[in-house]
Amino acid sequence: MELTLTWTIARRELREALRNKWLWFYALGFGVLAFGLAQAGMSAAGYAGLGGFGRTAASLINSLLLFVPLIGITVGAGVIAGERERGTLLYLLAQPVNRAEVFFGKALGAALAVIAALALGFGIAGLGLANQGGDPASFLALVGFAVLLALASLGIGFIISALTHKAATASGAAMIVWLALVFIGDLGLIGATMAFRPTPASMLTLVLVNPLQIFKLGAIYSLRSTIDTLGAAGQYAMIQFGDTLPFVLVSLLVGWTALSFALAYGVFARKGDV
Amino acid sequence: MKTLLFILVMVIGLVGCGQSANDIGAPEIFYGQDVCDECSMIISDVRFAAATIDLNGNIHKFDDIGGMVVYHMDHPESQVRAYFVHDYNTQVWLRGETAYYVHSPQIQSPMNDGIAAFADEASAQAFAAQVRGTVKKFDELRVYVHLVLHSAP
Amino acid sequence: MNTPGAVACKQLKWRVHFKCLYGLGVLLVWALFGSASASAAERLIVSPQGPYTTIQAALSAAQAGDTIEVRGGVYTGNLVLDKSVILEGTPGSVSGQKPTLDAGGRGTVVTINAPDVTVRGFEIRNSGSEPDQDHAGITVNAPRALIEQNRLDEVLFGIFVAEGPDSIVRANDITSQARYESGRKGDGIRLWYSPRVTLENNHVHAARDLVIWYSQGVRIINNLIENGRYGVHLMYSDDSLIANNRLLNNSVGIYAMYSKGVELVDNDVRDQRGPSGYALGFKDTDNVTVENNLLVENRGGIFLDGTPFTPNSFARFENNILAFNDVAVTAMPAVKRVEFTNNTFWENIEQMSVHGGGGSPDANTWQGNFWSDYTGLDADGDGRGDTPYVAEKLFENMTDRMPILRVLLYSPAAQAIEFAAASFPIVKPRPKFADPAPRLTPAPLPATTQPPADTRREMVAASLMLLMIAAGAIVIAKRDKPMIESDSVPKPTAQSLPAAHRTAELAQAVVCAESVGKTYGKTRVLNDVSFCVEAGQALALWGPNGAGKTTLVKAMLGLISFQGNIRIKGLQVRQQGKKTRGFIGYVPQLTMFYDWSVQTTCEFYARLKHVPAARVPQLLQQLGLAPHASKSVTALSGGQKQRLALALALLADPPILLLDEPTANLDSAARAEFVRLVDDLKRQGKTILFASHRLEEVEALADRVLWLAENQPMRLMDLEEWRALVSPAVELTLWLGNEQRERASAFLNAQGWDAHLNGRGTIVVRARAQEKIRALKLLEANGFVVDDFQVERQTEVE
Repeated sequence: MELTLTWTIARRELREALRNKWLWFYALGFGVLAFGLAQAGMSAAGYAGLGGFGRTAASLINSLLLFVPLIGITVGAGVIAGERERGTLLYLLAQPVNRAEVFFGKALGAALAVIAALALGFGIAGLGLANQGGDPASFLALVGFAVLLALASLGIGFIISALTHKAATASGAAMIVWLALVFIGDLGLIGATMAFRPTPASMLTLVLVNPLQIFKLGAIYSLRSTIDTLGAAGQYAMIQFGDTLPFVLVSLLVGWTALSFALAYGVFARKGDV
Repeated sequence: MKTLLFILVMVIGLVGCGQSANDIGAPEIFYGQDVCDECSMIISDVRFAAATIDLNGNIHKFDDIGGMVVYHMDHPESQVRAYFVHDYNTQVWLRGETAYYVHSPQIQSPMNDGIAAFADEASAQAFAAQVRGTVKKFDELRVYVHLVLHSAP
Repeated sequence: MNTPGAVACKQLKWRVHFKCLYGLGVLLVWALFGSASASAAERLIVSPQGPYTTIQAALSAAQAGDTIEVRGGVYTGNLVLDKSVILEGTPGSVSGQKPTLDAGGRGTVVTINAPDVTVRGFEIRNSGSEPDQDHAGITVNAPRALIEQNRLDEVLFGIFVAEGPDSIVRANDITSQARYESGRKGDGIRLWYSPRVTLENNHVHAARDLVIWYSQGVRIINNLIENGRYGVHLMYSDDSLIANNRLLNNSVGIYAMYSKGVELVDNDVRDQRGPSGYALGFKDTDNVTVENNLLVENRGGIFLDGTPFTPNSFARFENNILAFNDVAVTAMPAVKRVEFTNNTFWENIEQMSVHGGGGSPDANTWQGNFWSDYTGLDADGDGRGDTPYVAEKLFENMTDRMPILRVLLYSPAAQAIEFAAASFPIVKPRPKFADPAPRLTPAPLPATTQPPADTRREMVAASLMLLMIAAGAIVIAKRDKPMIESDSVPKPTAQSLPAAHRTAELAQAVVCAESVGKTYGKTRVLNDVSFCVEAGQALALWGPNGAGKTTLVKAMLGLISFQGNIRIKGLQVRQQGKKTRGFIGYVPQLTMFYDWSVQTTCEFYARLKHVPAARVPQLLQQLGLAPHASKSVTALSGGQKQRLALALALLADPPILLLDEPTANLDSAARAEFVRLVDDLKRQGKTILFASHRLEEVEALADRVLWLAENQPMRLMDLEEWRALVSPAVELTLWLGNEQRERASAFLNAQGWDAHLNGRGTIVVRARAQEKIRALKLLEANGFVVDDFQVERQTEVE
């Protein structure tokens, strides 16, 4: 793999992705929402002095859980399928480049675009939170976890993209996968819990299958240095991992990212056709 | 991913079923983490930790043997299938129904019930002599707890 | 002499407590008695320099009421105080440190067996650590001991008051043996059958519990208790007062059981986050008064089980602030008659939980509390909400029933469940309670509350940094120059080579296909295609649509999988696709460009091909695109687009051009122009493979033709053969005079023509279209006179 080629393709992809109005719509939407939440949650009567984890933080995590995967999956889903449909992918692959350079260039470019969008959203949100007396280290840790979730989602989007030939199909599939990750998986988990009464350890394992939940644990940990708020499974995690929990969560998200991109590349390379 | 989730769910289901189907498996207590069903306090001392499994497969955990007896007096809806206590000396699980119990105010148990359990009568007698206690079988223990401990404070 | 009871009462400025007065009375009597006897008391000095060098020796000599002053030094062994003495440590003159009592890891350090003993000002350490032996720093077995200003370290239990009524434990610093986990440690302070004891101003840290068992009328005031298991565990101890304490980061804050008369006021209880993790818990307890406490960031604020217990007792919670707890109040379903009045419930994740679910919403009384999630209004301005605060949340009810589901807290799914419950009455959750007239302003925080650290500047800096990252990404994308110079040392392109080398290189430039096949699904698109093209040659791929021309082009570019082998300049396309593509300039039928200007497009592909950007203007000039360089590619005409595609193909000056019906979408003028350009390139020595189904293009460019047809073996032919195949067969009808007719027919047949007479007096000659004139000329030249002729087409290729 020639890195200069990858970078050239990455820049093109970044440029293309930054033109995507939805990306900015989501990023701005999230930023403005978070800013608004921060303003609305401005503590009366000095209660901020108690330094707690209130609804502002909870709503922030909630909206991140909706927005971040949405950005990642939809951007990812569009990248390959869209170009394949337009025919530009064929022309690009006909150049003296190999598939890895094209794929990872696109991945890098899309990742940079998503990071830029998140940075914008969080930048706006942070200006709002500044008045609340937020802790910058926690805030940046939260941003870090959000970026990792975005990358994992991007990878999932790339899988969809590598499998589909039409941009519209890819977008549809992206929405379904997003819904599955955001709602259906958890609702299924609730049902399974009701039926099987899992132990804290198995509950934690089940939860850690979903990158959104990994992010959620990381986000809560960033803000309060523990996840025991999350009941028995959270306490189990704290006992099991203690201070290493953030590293475990980061590794899991990095693993998700690597796995999803590897899978997407496998599909893209093996397909052998354009 | 869904498949993976499904498999995991199934595995947990099987593990769960396996647990409730197993007649004599004593539950696992996470010391320093699990909380007594009777008094809601943290269970730390293995020697006095007790547990029951009821007919619905619910597991109850206790930090003291007296608490176990009291809990099931107060909760007739939870019919016990198996009682479990620890042998005071070896700290291994015993079936509560067949254990021998020593009661003495000298025994410092978490809720001061002062009850220790033993696998065999000889060990119980030996310990009773040491702490000036009395040896009781399970039914006698229940009567004692009902009359003395349960009517307190 | 300062009486402890008076101090206790002073610290409870806001109310006079009757028990306190009682205690004050008892202590005043004691103080008078004590000071009366003190006048006759002696003072015995113990120090490493004497007069007494061991405490034991001084103790032997002492009378009840004497003071033994210990000046510095370390005193080992287990000290037993069996006389009513005052044991007072003062800092050593040399070391300046408190005297140390050290039991060397065996037994209890100080045991008090006589009444009215004072132990003050010692460093007390290294008790034994047997779990059931109650090894302690100080064990009090007699009434009215005063233990103050000691530091207890490395002891299993701290201060164990066993049957020591009316004792005072004040201003001690107590910690248990650090090497044990919390359950194995001893209790910081343990009261056992010791009524009316006062614990005040102590700092108990990293010990197990602070235990008050079977001890009535105990006062626990102004202590700091942190990092332990049970901050205070009260059992079978009536009439207790717990006030002004700070409990931080214990597993559980204050847990009261089986007691009657428990008063908790002005305590600050934060971060109790262990298993169960309640700030305050009550089990089977009566007459509970909880007022003005601050309960912050605990896993549970208040836990209630069987409280109040007996029918005529009460449990009242007033003016407390419960903020940022996971669950503010947890109650067992059977709990009833608890009164919550005028408390502030601020941003708890769950305001109230019924343990295991169920319970009646009317069991307890909620009156005039502040709820931070209350959404009602106060139209009449009386400071009370006009509508009740009702705690009804479906997901909360689920987690109450199945606590393990709390792991899904904050999940959108949990949110969705709540939304569904709010939207569809059919799944409306059962309310847990209602506060009919909630207050609308939270209670002010105690003045001692620290304002949050001002991190505004750091937060703004962090935010600006993020915004700069976003801006940075845009800059990277928009910059025209690449961040990494695509190739600082450009590969020698063919053009930069001396002519001789160039010719030699071109001579090697060959494309060879061996038995190439391709199947899409069940359709065999290419079957056993083999050919070789030599350098400088032009091969036309000829055949109808669907014959596999484009598939073959894709195979040569290594874009699809295929059977057989294709070699470009000796390299296998399958293995070295990138390298072989470097030898090829490719122009598709319809080039799809990115939405860029001509110049940017060229620069992008130049970068991919490691061609210096300087070549771009030169090529655009050559292909007549220079005036359009800044135009968007979308604004180009079809012909211009294909010329741009050709320009891109020529960027690296490749030896081979692969053109896939490049003129299919062009008008005739543009087509002619394009063919002329390609013809020029051929003259320059390029090897050209092009798919086409236009006769004139093949005529103009091709040296050989690869004929592809669906379901037929491919044929490789020279131009002549192709011409013969593509020229239509015609029937030439000739009118000749009667006399010549038969002879002419025979003559043509003899010359190899397919001619015959037909019934209507004409000769019919079957021939290739381009040969028909030759038949006429031949007849003329041999003396035949053709009166007339007519041409009918019979078959046509394509």
